Amino acid sequence: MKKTRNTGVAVSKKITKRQIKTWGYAYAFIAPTVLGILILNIWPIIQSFYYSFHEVKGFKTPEFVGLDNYVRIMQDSEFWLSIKNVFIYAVITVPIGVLLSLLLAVLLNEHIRGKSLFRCIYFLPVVSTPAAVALVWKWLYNKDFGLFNQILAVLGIQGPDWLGNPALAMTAVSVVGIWSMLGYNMIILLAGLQDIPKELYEAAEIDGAGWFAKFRKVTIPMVSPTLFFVLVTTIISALQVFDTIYMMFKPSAPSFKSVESVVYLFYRYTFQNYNKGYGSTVAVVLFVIIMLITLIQTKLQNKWVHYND
Amino acid sequence: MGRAEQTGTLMGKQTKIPRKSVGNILSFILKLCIILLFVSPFYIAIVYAVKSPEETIATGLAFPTSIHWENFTEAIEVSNFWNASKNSLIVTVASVILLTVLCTMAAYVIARNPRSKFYQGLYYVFLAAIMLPFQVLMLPLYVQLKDFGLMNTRIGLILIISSFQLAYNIFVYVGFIKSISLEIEEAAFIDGAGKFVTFWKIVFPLMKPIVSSNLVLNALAVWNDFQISLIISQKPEVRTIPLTQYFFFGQYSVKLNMAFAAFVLAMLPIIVLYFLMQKYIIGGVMAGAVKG
Repeated sequence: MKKTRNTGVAVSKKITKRQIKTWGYAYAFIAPTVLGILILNIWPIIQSFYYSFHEVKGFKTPEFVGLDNYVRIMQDSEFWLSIKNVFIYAVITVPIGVLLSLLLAVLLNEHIRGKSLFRCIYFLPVVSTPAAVALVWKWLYNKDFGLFNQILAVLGIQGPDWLGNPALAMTAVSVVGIWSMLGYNMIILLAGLQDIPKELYEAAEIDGAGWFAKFRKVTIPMVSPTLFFVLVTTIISALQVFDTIYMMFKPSAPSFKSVESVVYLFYRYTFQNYNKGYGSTVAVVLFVIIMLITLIQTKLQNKWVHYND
Repeated sequence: MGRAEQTGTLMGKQTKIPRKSVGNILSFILKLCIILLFVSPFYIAIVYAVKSPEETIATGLAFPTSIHWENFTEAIEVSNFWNASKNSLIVTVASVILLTVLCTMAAYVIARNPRSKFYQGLYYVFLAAIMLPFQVLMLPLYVQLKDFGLMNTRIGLILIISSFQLAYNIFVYVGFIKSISLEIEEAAFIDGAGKFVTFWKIVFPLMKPIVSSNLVLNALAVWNDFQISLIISQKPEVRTIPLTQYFFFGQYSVKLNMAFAAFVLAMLPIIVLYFLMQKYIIGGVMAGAVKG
């Protein structure tokens, strides 16, 4: 390091020459990932937009149909139903899920014995294979043998068909959704909470603030940037829900129409009915909706998110 | 650099004496209840997996008295477990190596050229790609794979799954490399080391904390993937563990104990990895969140 300082000026000319040579490596370093992202992410999204203006059935060449697919989607009751379903799913899972994650994070931020054990277990649903988790839950909800109805039977209550009943199915799926997301959101919020300076709480205590006042006046504003991040990502993933619903419901289920999500509809149109042009339109419309909602949230953040810098 | 280490020390400092107020005891009980809620699905899966059908009917969810290993041996045989594990293992290991090698190198170039419009432009392309939802890309990717004959191959699966992790990895690595001091690299440069050697001999070892947590996070994401594999691996011989479990349960839902034994087998590797590496995983998620 001393060498750098002593000879810095003298070698600077040499460096520029070598720099050109060495930064030739830069292209080699970055080329594979750039190619990957261009071929596997950027090009496909352009193609998706392209397909949405075409009729693509099976392996025939795409036929240009203008805005036909978009006109059709506006009149497609199945599509609107799936939009309604994901919005209901988001309205149930996002507020409850985020609030519970925040409460868990606050609880774990206190100094208690076995904190890392708690944290470790709360994170468990995040790491466990979603396929297995969904199927265990499906079993818990089983009408005749499931745990919930067995417990109800002990109490002398005839349990409902949780997943088969259209009125209950969405609630049942939402519970699984909340259960699976809590751990991840909690860990992220916990990271935000740990950055709050202790002095702020001490100052609030001197001013006579109770637990709730401290939570509302110190914790919420200080953690609001993290909360914003959690809120945005949770809403995005709620609108894209697929795995759990796909694994817990077959299209033949009596309650299917009250839980089918937009991505499930996309999957059915594209890969089961082989209507690729129209399927792409569904994906593109969902993408635009998600972008709009995220944009609105970014605009609204000035009203409640406090950035220190 | 600070973040990852900071969370590490915070984790070590937990044994402060609790204030024994009523509130603390209440919150402790609350936490225990939540733990029960979080653990019960796993408990149920394990209990069913080790009991015989007769025992299941007789004792329900009571703690098992003996272990019926035949549930597991049967599940391994019927569900083609070894083949699925082989697929999962190959796909996971290859994707993780690919992501680690390629993303750290790319991130190095981006982080060390802060004034180059070209590289910063590329960085924004990566950032934008983080937000792309999977389903918008799925169909064109499916068509591409078909054209290249990569459908139903592990290579196809590796490429697609990795491509969805690329952007996030680069984003996290760039943030980390920027926090590494330039001085050592300058010294190496004066000594005549090329960028390739400098990166692998000097920079990469310094990235150990972030690389290890990303390694585990990537492994989790790839191992647990369902949606992408569902579309790419349509033939049984290339199915990964989550897919195999899903189709297996559809066929054998009558043989409940065996089905649950299969679940336990599917979850076991990842749960073991999690408990061994949980400090890195949680630390990695926290570090990523703060940067994001």
